[in-house]
Amino acid sequence: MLRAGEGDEDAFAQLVEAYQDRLIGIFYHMLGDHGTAEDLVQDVFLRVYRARDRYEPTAKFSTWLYRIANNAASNIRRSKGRRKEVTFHANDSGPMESRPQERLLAEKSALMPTRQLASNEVRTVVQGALGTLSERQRMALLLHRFEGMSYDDIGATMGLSLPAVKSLLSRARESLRIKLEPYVE
Amino acid sequence: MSEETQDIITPELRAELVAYLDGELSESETQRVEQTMAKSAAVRREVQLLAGSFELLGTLPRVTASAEFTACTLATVQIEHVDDASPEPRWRRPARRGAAALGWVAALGIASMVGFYGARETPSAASNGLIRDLPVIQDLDMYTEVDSIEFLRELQSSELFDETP
Repeated sequence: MLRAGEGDEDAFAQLVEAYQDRLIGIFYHMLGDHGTAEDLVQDVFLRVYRARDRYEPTAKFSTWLYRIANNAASNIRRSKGRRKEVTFHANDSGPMESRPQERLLAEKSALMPTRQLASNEVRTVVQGALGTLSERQRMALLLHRFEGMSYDDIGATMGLSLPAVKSLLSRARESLRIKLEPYVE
Repeated sequence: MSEETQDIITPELRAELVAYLDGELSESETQRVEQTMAKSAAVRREVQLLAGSFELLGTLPRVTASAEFTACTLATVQIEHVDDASPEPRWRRPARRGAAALGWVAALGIASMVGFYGARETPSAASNGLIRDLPVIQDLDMYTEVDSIEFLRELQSSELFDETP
């Protein structure tokens, strides 16, 4: 990042390649849509590029990067205003047609081995459970689970105190526990 | 503390259990949690469920960037770089845009005024002709019965319509 700040374009390209999958993964599970996740990650990298000459190596680069990413996600939250959040529920397609995941399950059930079907069902249930969390809970959980961030790093990324991170993760884990208890062996 | 009290999982206890599973407790805090777990089957069950549900997050699909994402992102950044490298001073860009906007507003205003006053003051050639021929138009039915002007003169000179006694 320091080299990128000095104008090294190749260094910046390496940063993009090193972090793009991780960021897209986080935002995919936040937003539920691959295209939207890529748009947001591209916006994050653009912000990183604009701020490249102001980067100070006082903290881990990943913490700085995910702080920018969290701010970008927060902007999306604010732009939604008072509109109801779209969360994906695995077993609730309402009056609309069944969701693509449910249709996939129905179509494939006659062909798949039982074990594989159970695995797909669990994945759908887990995605649905994740979708019922608030966006802050979801972000904290994904940063902890997939980025291996400590509570301190999560706090630095999301602008939260250590007790606030602890409380946020505890509530998120409780919600998951309630929804996924039938699937825990 | 009674066994019944130890089976109640309070929010504070749950937060401690989660932090314990995440390796975020100090040595003394860890020992306290482990002692609590040793005394309560309910607490041990809660820890098992918290850990198990957390592990199920591993079943979420691994998502990667599309094939064109890197190139597209770097191209977007490059456009930003070219824009930043422009010799035009940064302050000129918004000033230039503002001036262009003002020019458009002024041009539209002038065009509107010209159109309004022009339409009001300048009658069309077709309207002029109608206004000039109005006396004829009003009696057109009668004039279509007359063959020619000479015929009208002959009528006038004849005594057919003489009303003098």
